[in-house]
Amino acid sequence: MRRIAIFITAAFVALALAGCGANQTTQTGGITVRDPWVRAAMMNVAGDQSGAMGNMGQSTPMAGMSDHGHGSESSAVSAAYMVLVNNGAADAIVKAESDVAKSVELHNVIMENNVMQMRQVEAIEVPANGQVELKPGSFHVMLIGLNRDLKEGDEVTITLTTRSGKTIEVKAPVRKP
Amino acid sequence: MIQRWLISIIVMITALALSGCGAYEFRGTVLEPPNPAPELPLTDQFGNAFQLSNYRGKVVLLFFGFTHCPDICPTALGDLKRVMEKLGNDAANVQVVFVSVDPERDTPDLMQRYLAAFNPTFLGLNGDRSVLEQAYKNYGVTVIRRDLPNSGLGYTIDHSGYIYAIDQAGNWRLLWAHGTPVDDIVSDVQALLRNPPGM
Repeated sequence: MRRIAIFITAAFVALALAGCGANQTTQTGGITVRDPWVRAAMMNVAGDQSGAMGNMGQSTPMAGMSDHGHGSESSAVSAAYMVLVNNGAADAIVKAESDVAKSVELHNVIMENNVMQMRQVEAIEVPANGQVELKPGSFHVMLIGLNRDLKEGDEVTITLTTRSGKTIEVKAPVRKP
Repeated sequence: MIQRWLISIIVMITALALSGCGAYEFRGTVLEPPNPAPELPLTDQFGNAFQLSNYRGKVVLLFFGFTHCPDICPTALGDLKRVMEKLGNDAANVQVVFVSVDPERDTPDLMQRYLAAFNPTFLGLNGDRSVLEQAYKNYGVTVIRRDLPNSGLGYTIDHSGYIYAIDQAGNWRLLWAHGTPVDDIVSDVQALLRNPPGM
């Protein structure tokens, strides 16, 4: 009888965990991430070829034709979007990291008189029991200097750090631009 | 007598019907009177010389942006991609042109890859700084370089987010603010295609 109870409990726990994974949501108590996605983008050919050839698929004859020995780096960029939901005290995202880009930064876009102004921000504040949407034309996680092409269907892992010191691992699918 | 009456009624009804036809109200901002769109003597991402005058008979949709802009520019280009899809066969009579506001970083190679991700028919123009600056001025485009000292980007470019429409006769007719619904742009472009200006 006891064994059955343990078995049922284990099954429930497994189910609960599976549910979490399928949602691509990571629960940390405070800030939760919902609906993450990354904009598809291609590395530029003149970019760093050394480590990237493996997954480039179609390499171009033009590859690396210019600026040899210039230490040229991929300068292709992309952005990640998501909804940050906070069911705890006020907190903020202060850092984002990912292996897909050389620099990962927090940015915002301000529009004044239809002039777009993109700015780096120190933190993205998430009010207590509130939410912030990272979306085009607003806050986003900027991926600068892509290490590989981001194609539709790929998945990008981004690790966010909160001001309260927690880390949130986000698995964001790549979507068409 | 009665006949004259009838004729006048028919004329009135016809006039009414025609005025209804012509009364399409553009969703974008209409430029009145339409003036010739300033020439853009630049080079496309394939190394070919570009002249607006080569696109008489087509509607040209113009956007100023840069490839290191991962947010606003892809949104606008994504909208234009959907505009082209929704236009269906009419898309053959429309040319999307992207003019660089960041000539240093928008290399032909980067422009090729960047634009191909949206629609391989989109043209990306770059050229001499003086020619580009004249183009920004002509089209009233704000372009301000801002250093981002702590960013991997180094700098960014503040720029206007309008999309401009140039009609089949080469006149600058419309502009749409950033975020104008795709269906509104499609509707306006279809109206331009339906009523080509006298050339």
